[in-house]
Amino acid sequence: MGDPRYWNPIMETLPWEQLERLQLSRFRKMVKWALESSPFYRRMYERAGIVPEDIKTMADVRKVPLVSKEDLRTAQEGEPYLYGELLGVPLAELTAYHQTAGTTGKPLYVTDTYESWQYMVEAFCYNIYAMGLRNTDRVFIAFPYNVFIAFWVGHYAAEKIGCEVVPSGAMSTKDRISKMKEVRATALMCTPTYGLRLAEVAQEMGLVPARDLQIRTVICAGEAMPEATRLKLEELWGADVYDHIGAAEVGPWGYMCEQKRGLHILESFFLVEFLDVETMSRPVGPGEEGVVVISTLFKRSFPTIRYNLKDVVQISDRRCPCGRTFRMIESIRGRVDNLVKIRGVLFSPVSVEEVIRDNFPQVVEFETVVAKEGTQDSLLVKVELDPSVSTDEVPNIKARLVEALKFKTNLTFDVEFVPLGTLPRYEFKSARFKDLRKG
Amino acid sequence: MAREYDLEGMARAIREIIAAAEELKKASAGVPALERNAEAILVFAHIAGDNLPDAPAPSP
Repeated sequence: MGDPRYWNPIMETLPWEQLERLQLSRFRKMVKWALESSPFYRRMYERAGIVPEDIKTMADVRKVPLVSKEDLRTAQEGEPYLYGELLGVPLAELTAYHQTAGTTGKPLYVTDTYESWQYMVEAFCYNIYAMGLRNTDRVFIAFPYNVFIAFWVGHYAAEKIGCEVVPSGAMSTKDRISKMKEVRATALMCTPTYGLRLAEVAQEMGLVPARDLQIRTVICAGEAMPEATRLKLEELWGADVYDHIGAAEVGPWGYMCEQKRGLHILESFFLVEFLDVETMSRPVGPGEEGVVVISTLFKRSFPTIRYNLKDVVQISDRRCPCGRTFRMIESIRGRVDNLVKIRGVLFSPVSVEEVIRDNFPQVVEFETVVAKEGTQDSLLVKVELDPSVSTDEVPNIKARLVEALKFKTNLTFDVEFVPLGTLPRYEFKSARFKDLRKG
Repeated sequence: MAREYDLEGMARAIREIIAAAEELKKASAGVPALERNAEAILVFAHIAGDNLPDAPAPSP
């Protein structure tokens, strides 16, 4: 019998030296594949003088050129349509189409063969098994099943583990809640924002999710989830809430285990490096913050080798009591693209959510707006309060919120209270930060 | 941890599955119902192989 805690105890507890050796061997193989099969990589590697057989250490890995989303997008502009010179297999082998959200420009088209898709599914099995899903679970998948990859992989991974999968497709939020109740779903997959929204609507329907629904596991993805938000979801759902990290271009590469502290890197499927945010060349280590550079070790259809994911993470310096030898990241800080300068100070919008969810349970919804007033940047947080808050309490909440935000971000915010239900609600990723200075 | 498992036995079984699936693919004479299922078996056999520290057979 295998160890029941792991999807694959052989790999998940492999000594680090062996894991690194394995990664280097798989990385070498991927570079060789890309060199031989993808004109985009061939040109780049020939120019850089990359010889796969020479890659023997992590220092050698770092000699391989980095690629960005912009590079991949440019490579897709040529033939064959849609994927251009990036493609690593003949068009006839492709079986799945996805795309990125396009929030930073034109979307990137992402494709899989039957084989690479099954590797993605396998990678996600590691994730959800560590989070406790088993073949006795009935998993409710709350996303609209469209061109965005979102929980598509989650669907098939849950099925592979043996769970019964309930796809909610185009259902309304109310219908989803009714269906979850009707089928007695035991697990839920959704974005953190939508997990909060589902709970809010359930309450409007007179239900207490922790009492009236049978969800015991919530698996989140799609956006940064501050610990305070995770705890809030646990309280609302009376369930264990887990985070994982992935991207359409590479797949699900990091996951929480039952300890619910930090995320393990799926080292046997991905080679993950962390680089200094400023220089993007100096490797950073445990205890530091770094930008994720990732290489998929299995995706031949759409090679992503030393791909700058632009995710900023806090690298952990501890070993997890769960026994996995996979390295850990402590938290996801956000994306380089999302960091903005306000009055000369680098600001991460997720820090507002951290302050609010951590200290202000009276806040139901919020939105941050930065605008230009003359030559100055103005910063405003619009806040909806719970109806149970009395008028007398409002000035105190405002003063405490301004102070807490100042302490966290080193920026001074204005706070405006707006009527309940005024601010937008989200069914997938949130857009609680509006930068009106642009155009 | 790895010593608790018969890794060589697993690798051998995977190699045999790969050999049998390749033989089926060849014998299918282009009949999609056989050829595509043989290819699917190969995919899963290679994934199983990549779940071991030393891949029993290189991925296609």
